[in-house]
Amino acid sequence: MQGGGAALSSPCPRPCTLPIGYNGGRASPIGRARRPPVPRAAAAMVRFKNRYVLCEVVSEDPRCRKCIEDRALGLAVRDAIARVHGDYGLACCSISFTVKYLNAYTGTVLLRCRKDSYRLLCSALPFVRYLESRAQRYPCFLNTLHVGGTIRTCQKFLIQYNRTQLLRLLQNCTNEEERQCIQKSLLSCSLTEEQSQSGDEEEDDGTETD
Amino acid sequence: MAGFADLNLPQGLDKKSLQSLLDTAAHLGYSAVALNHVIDFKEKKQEIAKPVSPSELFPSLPIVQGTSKRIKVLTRLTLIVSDPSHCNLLRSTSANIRLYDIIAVFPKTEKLFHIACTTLDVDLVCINVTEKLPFYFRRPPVNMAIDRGIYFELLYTPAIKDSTMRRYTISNAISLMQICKGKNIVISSAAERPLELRGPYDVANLGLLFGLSEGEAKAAVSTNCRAAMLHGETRKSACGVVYTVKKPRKVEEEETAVPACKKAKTQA
Repeated sequence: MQGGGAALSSPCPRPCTLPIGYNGGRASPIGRARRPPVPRAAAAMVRFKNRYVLCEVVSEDPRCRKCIEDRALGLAVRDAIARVHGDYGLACCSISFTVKYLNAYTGTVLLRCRKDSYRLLCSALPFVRYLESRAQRYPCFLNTLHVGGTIRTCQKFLIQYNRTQLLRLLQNCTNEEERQCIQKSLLSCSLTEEQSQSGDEEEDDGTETD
Repeated sequence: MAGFADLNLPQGLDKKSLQSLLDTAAHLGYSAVALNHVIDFKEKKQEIAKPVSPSELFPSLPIVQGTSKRIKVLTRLTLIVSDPSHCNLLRSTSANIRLYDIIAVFPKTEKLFHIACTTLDVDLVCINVTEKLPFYFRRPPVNMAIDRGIYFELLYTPAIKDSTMRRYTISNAISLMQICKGKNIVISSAAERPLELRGPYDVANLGLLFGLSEGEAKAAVSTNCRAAMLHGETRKSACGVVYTVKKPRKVEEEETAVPACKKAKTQA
């Protein structure tokens, strides 16, 4: 992510449009001028690989939904990492650790961390026991749904997952109005590329009715 | 591919909380759970009761996440043995013991651990995770247990609840891994409340902390559990090949299936 951004913002150090003899004002042999930029350019091209962990917050208390927010969740996860892996583990994980996406209605959370340290993060996630916000503590736990290399794969998985959740709701719903509402949202959500975003939102509406 | 299983849900709870545990387990994607009945010989002379039949307890079982099947509920008996005389119960062909799907022992001393691994007819050997190990694991009994298809069970709920328990759990688990090299391990929950359960992938990640590799950790919640269940099934069948099943209901159905005119003929 950041690597890619850096590569875009800083243009290639060797402007190709310049005449061949031009060496940036320095008089150096061509062979030497050509060699050093190659590893530099390669280093700038490699992006930092991340892992995206898609989790679901499971709680018995419906009030817990209110406290599903970026800060509370990040703190809870950091706290768990610190308890399990200590200072070293927390330091490793906290490089580029963020909560990328959060849906309070369905309780889904997308966490990002570096590829090197995602095992530390994953093995600490079971030790999250409660979320704390505004001096209130709600017991809950995180259930890992998917671990992906890009946000895109996680999104695809989440759409598929929410679709199956809707089917479950359809089985459990009691009155006709609910049933029709869910059926409508099921039909409207689609997995094609253009509509994937809108489909996701529709699904969220569907689960809200429950 | 074998589905995920959690071979330890305590049975001593009331029906409502057990139902919510089952619902949560199904939601997390476990396709089989075992209700654990614990007998501690230390307390008093305890009778081994008949296993509660899950179909009586729960009229409708929840559907497992991601599949269209209902969750499978097994029965399990755990004997806490602290004296060699307690093992006689397992050797005798007690009728009630045979009714349980899975039988586990919790050996308290090294000698009993040796007996459990080498001679007893059990499926699981529980490893103490709540206190410092009273003995070191030795290679001969563990290798023997692996050869016989007996699995070692580690519990993860104490590790989630408490920090000191977590240290004991991890150190005991790692000392076991050094001997058994990640083979024949089953990780299960012993959760009393739904919020103490964890999803199967999270449990596999916990296995990484216990010194398992990724493949072994995943096997510890899926294929190894299935193997333990099948090992238990072989006790009820002849060498795991021939089954005997009672079919009292089938006879009645056949009788009703016979058309009325035919029935009249046979009666006449």
